Amino acid sequence: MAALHAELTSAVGGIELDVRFDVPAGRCLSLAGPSGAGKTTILRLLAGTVRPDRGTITHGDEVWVDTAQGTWRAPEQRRCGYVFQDYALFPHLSALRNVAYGLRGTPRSERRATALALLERFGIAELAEARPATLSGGERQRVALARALAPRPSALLLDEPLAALDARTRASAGRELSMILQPLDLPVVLVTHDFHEAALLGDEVGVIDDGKIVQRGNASELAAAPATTFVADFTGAVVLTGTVRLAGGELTTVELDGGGVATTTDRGRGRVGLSVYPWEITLSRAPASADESAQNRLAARIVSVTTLGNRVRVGLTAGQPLVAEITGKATDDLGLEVGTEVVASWKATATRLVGL
Amino acid sequence: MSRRAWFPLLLGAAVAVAVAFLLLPVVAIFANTGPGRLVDSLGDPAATDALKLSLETTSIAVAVIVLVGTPAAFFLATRSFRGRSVVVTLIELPLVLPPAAAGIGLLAALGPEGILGGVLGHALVLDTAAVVVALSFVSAPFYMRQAQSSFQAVDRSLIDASRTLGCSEAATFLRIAVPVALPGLAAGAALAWARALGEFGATLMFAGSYRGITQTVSLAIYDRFATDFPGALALSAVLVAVSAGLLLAVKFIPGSTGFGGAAR
Repeated sequence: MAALHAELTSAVGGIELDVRFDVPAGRCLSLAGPSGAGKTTILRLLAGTVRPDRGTITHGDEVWVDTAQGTWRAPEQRRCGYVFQDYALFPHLSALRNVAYGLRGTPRSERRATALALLERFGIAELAEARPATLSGGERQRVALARALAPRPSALLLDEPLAALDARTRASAGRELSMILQPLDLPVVLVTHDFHEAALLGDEVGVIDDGKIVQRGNASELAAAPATTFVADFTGAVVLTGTVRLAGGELTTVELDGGGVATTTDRGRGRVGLSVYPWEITLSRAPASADESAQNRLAARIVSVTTLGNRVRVGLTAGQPLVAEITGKATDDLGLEVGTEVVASWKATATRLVGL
Repeated sequence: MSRRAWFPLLLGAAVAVAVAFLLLPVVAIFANTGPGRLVDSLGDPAATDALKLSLETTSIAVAVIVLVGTPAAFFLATRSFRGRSVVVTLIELPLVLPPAAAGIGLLAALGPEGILGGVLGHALVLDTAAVVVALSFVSAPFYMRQAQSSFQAVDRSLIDASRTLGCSEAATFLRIAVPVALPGLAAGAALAWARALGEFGATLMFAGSYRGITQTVSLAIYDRFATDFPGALALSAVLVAVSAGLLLAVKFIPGSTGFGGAAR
């Protein structure tokens, strides 16, 4: 199977989309970013339902778009499998007919058998004659996926595949989807506003901000070394801003906006952002002492306590807002509640310096 | 009575006046037309000729409007181009055109002495085709407007999905856009039909009122109201019944599931 290659420039709404990426067959690229970053437009450009201002798209040896040469392939000639955000099932056709829709050109009986086999594979064969309006969100998602895969597409495009599902079905649907995507021998491009979804489903994650891919790598690389505060923020890290006061030796000391200092093993100068993951931060009621220079300590006051399963997210203010994620036991032992004065500490080695 | 109750009372009174005023003439038509009288009138060859002609001309006019108007409305609903709103407005113009002006306009354009007179000659003079032209002219906007908004309401991702699944734009129009928009298209066709049935002014001026050739039911009612008032009433009753039937059809189409089945 062929790789998908795209280099695209296009003005959409208020943003200038400017992206380039390769996706080999058998790999899934997750493009993650906030709504309005141009994610859906990238899929439309790949599918051919929108024309780019400039750029090229190739699929193996086939040139789909080359604005310089005036090459243009219509969507029906590219045959991308496309799973739309709201699934876009044809409301006047049964689930089976939706899946069989892309199989024109094959004999009728074969069409039916192929569509039915796919519905069976996705565990919804008994819904073959049901209309989309009577299906649940999870069932619709499976019909949409079966419909996209039925004609053996050249590539698979997924637009927020889990967004239309309620919180309860989302987790299981995500695992199922990742199992379906794994063995596919075609390029897969997925867009989502949720970093965890991107990390779960993609072999690689590209973070999109303001129309551009600001960083690309596997999910743990992005989380470990975010290139910008946006990426750090997006991956779920806390970002504190400040100014580098002292850079020398092994530690860089940063004077934080709103008071306090923090150190990091990264190097930088001038205005910077410091990112740290909430689960790296521990809380104690001991007064701040500066005996351990490799440990950051910041006096803070608790503003919120939210229980999430066996974890507790504690919202803090220490001049700047901060979030710590600790165990329920630690919360009880320390007697933490809104208003409690605590010391938040985390290692300098767990603190990343990121550009603002 | 509490002081607050006056506003609901006012609303109720307004509704009562409006309903009474709008319904009274319709009731009068049926009240003054006994069943026997109705059947007698319909036995009159002039009346049956007019009914037949109205049925024939409105059917042809609606068929032509749907045939040409559906793709045109799809084009206007799915494309953006310079001057689009001008084209949309021009298509809606006949809605507000006084019927007499429409009749004169049609004569000036398609009559023997009109702009296209050289091409058409006397083809439309005293001919049933002239009735169809007049009906199409005044009713087309009713269908076009409705068809356009129905196509606009079709989710763009449905069209995109069909394209990525290998269907050309033409195939997508026939297999997705029309079936999904069908309830709206049917409602538009029913509205256009009702408008064509009631057409009077433009037809009278452009096609004349000749029994069996250009005299539709509306023209027949006008023709006999001075000489045969009960006969005019009977014809009116038939027209009201058919129009009310069309109105009911429009009201019940959006909720119907029958059309989805028809589209399979």
